Amino acid sequence: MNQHDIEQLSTYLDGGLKPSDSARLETRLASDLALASALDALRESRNLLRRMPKRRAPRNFLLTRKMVGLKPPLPRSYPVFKFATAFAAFLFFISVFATRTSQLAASAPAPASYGIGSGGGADVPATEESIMMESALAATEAPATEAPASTEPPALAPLPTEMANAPSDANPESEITRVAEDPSAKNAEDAASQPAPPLIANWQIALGLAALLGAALMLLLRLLAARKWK
Amino acid sequence: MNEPALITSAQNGDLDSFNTLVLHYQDMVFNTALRILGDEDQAADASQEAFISAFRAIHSYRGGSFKAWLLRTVTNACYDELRRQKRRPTTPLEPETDDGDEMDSPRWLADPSMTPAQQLEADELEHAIQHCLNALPSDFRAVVVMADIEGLDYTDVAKAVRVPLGTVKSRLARARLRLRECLQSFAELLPAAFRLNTNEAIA
Repeated sequence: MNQHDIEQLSTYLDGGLKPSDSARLETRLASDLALASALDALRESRNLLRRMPKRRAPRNFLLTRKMVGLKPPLPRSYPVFKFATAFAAFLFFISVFATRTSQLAASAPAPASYGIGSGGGADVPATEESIMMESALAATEAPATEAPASTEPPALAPLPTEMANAPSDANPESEITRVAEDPSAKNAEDAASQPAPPLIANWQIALGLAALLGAALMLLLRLLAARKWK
Repeated sequence: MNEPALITSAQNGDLDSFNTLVLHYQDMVFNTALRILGDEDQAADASQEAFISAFRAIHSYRGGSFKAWLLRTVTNACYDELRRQKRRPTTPLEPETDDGDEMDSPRWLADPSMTPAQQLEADELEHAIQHCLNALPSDFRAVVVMADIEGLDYTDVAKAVRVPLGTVKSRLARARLRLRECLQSFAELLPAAFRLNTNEAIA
């Protein structure tokens, strides 16, 4: 008797064998006592299992909505609100970012064109300005005291010469005025005097409000659905 | 109970319909879990988990025996529990007598409709069989519980445990044999009506 015989006996016991296989097995059972004994053993096991008392559930296993994570059904318009809100919010943030970036780029200092009167952010022009003023003062004082200063920077050298050649304009204040009247400096002054553009445009505010309104409506729809569901 | 209609409603998200099915099948589900796990509390937890899983996966039910489909979720929940036990083995707290000995037949399992002698007989039989069931590999146990205790046919058992029909037959035959061998060691504990008589069987 092998494992296959045991399987056949077990299946025969449950009536799962084909008629031809059953007939063959019954013939063997009539002559093979060990096989018949095994069949009885299997039958006894099965009968014992079938006699096992059926236990009743100790409690009800009814499910609640919370247990299964059921959410209230939302109205059909909800996805539209969801998409519109997300889109408005996306546009709002992108536009604000783009505007702010362009404003920052526009306010960055142009090289050497904001020499005077342009405010902070231009160290080199400010230094040049002070050098120019000092040299102008030195040039006006030089004829009265000693020979022209040979230590002056070569780039600024012509300035005292011109000053010296024009005795009527030998006033330092008027020289400063001339320097300030430089066209590039004037442009910078004009730009500084113009009103700064607003951080957020009106249409951007409207976009932001639309996003907020959409979010509020979504929340309201959810609350109403949950209340209705209860 | 119109089972197909309830299943369809449950598939559409109707929890009340599913709960009607729960009430109908909960004893069978709990009993199966109890026989596979051998512990009432764990069986109750596994049954609850099985129903939750069944509701979440009910859209995957494509007809056939709903009982077999449900038993598959129970079996899976029991296997999960058995795996958890292997990872974190625990010592169950058995009820004790006044002397501090563990009670073999806890009173809360008693059926009031039986006499004390009958109760004792039934309890001992149940304990012996459950002990032998617990000694089987879990795959064998699930098959024998579904086929012999719950009365499912081979096809439904195969669907429930997701193995070929031949494997079910093989496991069932071997499980029955092992159970009998195990129960023979409890021969003196078993009531006379259930005592296995090898000589008689052979004759």
